[in-house]
Amino acid sequence: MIYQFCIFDRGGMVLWMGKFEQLTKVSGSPMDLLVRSVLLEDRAGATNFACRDYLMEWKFANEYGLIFAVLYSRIYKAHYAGQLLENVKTEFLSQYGETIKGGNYDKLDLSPFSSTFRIIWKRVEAASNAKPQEATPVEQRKVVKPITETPVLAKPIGRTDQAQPVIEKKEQPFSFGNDAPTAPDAQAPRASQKMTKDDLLKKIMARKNKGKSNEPQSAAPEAPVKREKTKRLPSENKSITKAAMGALDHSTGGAEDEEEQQVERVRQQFMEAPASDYDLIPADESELNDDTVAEVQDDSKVMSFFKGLAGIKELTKEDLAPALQKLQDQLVGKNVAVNIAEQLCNSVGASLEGIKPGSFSSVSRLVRSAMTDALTRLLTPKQSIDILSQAKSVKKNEKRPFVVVFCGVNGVGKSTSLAKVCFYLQQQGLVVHLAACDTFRSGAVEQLRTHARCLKAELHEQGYNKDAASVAKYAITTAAKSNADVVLIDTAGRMQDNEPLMRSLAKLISVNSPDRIFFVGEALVGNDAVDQLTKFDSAISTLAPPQSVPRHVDGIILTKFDTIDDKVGAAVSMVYATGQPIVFVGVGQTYMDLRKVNSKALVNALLK
Amino acid sequence: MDLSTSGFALLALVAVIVLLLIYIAAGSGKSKRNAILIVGRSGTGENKSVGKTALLKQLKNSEQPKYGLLPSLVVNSAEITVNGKPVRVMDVPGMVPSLLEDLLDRAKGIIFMVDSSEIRDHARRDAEILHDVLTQGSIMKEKIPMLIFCNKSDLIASSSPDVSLGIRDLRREGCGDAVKTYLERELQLIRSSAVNAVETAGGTKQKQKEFLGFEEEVFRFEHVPNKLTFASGSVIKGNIDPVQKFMAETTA
Ligand SMILES: Nc1nc2c(ncn2[C@@H]2O[C@H](COP(=O)(O)OP(=O)(O)OP(=O)(O)O)[C@@H](O)[C@H]2O)c(=O)[nH]1
Ligand SMILES: [Mg+2]
Repeated sequence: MIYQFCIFDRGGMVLWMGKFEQLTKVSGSPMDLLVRSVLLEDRAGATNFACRDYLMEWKFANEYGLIFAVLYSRIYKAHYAGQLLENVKTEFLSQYGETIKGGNYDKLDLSPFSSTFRIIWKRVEAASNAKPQEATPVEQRKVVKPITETPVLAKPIGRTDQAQPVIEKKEQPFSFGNDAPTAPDAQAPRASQKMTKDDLLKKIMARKNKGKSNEPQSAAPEAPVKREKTKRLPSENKSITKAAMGALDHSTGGAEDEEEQQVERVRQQFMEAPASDYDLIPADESELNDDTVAEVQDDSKVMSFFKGLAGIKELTKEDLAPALQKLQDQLVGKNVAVNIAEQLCNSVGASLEGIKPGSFSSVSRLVRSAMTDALTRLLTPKQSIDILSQAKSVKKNEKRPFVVVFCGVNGVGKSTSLAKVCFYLQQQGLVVHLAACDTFRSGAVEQLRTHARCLKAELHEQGYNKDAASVAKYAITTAAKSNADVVLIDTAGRMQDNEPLMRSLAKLISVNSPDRIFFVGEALVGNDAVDQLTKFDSAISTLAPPQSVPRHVDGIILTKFDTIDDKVGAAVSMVYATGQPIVFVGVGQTYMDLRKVNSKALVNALLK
Repeated sequence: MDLSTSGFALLALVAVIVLLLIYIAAGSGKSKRNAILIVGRSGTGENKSVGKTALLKQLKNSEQPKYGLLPSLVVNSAEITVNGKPVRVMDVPGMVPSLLEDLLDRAKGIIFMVDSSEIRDHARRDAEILHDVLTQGSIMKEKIPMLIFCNKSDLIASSSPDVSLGIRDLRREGCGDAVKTYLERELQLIRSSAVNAVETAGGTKQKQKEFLGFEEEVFRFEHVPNKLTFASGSVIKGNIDPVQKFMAETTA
């Protein structure tokens, strides 16, 4: 069942739209969402997009700057949607293509196209109904191969490398904020989303780490694994990467003076040691600057005139493939997760297919420039990452402290990052309180206490084996009473697959509704980064107690950024996986070693 | 050589020369301020954008696209005739903030749009973008004039008085004043944290940001050296006189 069909340009103007059924239960427009979360974020390498009970498919006509999109019911699936898109595109372009290339089509009256559309639709639908398979419910349907000249669009579950004529190569369906299109159970959307995401990730893991263990290990190989510390929770991996942190563990039950020594040692290490002079050296920026020119949807006819004159042929998938493959390898070489590098390249490929390259630009230049744009778009935060003014604003307008939860797997540097953020906020004159909600790992509370003493920040703690959510609750209430500006909450490190622990994190978040949830991850991790982050992100919303407001990770802190040279790919993987920005990177051992990242410098490092 | 090939050769020669001219013009255009930019935030799926593309289409065609608008992925650009002179107007997509930085160098005037019916909920985001616009490049140094256009006045007029305090405020105070107050409040917070922001890795080549206003005083728009105009209107209702006036002043 088709709800809507839409033809629009990249500038955002809808040229023609048909609405055929009343949409229900959709806040905002699904087409709007498609643009924002698929086309903009370069997920266009996927083939469809789910939004509540609807599925969307789309097709580019890059040479005309147009996008064709169709919205249909997930339950009464329009299997012919791909064919419909193809046929409508062909017909539309043959009628109006020339005018549209001319540039001035704003006032073109396209209402007559409505009847043309109906004819095409009926024809494609009839052809598809002629096949018995169509009656089968979505879940049981097998992959249907295209037979006649109007092939049925089958949506394979999973990957197929088989080339299909007319229809683009089908990738894993992409879903955003809702359950995946192939999920059979519409009643439990979040759960089924998780399932398909997991499936996807498993598949990727299996493909990439054939020999390796299936259980993702986040700790760096050289990190010492302290098994003897696991008495409180045997299943937890207790790796601590920093020697200093390791030293702190021993302070458990130490005498007063020993603790003093600890504070002194940490002070020396974090405050008095010279701060890192780390910088990510940007390559020559001149190449980046002329890219905006290509982004302008100009109404001048000059360019198309010359392109037409030059008689250059349109780029095909095959033309683009070698350059894209090279670029993909390069991204993977920079530590971008393999599947994400692939998706990015697919998306960039999709946006270039059908374009006539200017006479002076080679395919590889074109591909690189499009990738530069895509990565810059991706890595430039769409919302502010300025927590300082946000904290001040909350305090001023709502008269309560700004609350930030730090979460992540073990040993990535959560507490250190928290201390750095604390230091930064204190430098700006804010009163920061810390809450020790890692009530699992022995030594964790002491570690935070030592930081708190160095930083002269108030610490709220209740020892071990307490319910982390209520420790946090108490800390926030007390901090509010003493007029604190910010409360930073340290949580226990946990592996993303440890469900009970993830559930308790979800509870902590839903009970305390923090203003920000920061995920702390290592810049060193490659493919695993995505797994960690997506599982944390989905756990926070799916495992939360019923009736709580669904939350997501809303910022990323990357640690050990100084150790990765130009292999900054984890930044791309993590931002792509959640759409959330890198708020800070840690670039050294001292409290001063906290930085923001410049997206252009990142892009340069990735593509140089 | 017959006539058609020589004709073609001539055409090709002309083409090359014209291309060269365009190339030179584009090259020197980096430093040339020849466009009016329309800037403002995008929506988030639930709520709508401020209406930049709608404004550009209105300027260009004196009507709205029949089938409506979606979020923009690229810059929309059009040549608008003001007092018989052509002016390039560019609508910068709110979803692609990375485009703004480079385009600011081409601005000879800026139309900053806000949605006055939702200013209360979005003042922060609006102010962040405004802060970026004012402090990046040389917008303040060169005193580039700016119109702060409070769009969607139609929605305010039609809402019942008790809907929310914000809307009542707006009606009593007039859009401009209320918007001004909201933005000033947020800009005060943003600018103080902008100076104190942590360093940026790889930011050595980043353009130097200016400080907005005077350090010792609470921020007021009067402290900005540029000519700032506040005005309200409704693109949908075709009420964009302040925009036309601004464009005429800027191109004169
Ligand atoms: N009620 C009302 N709606 C308006 C007005 N101006 C624009 N809109 C609507 O606001 C929505 C968003 O407008 P756009 O022009 O697409 O927004 P934009 O600022 O270009 O957004 P981005 O391209 O995402 O940055 C559209 O549905 C417009 O029809 C107005 O004056 N009143
Ligand atoms: Mg727009």
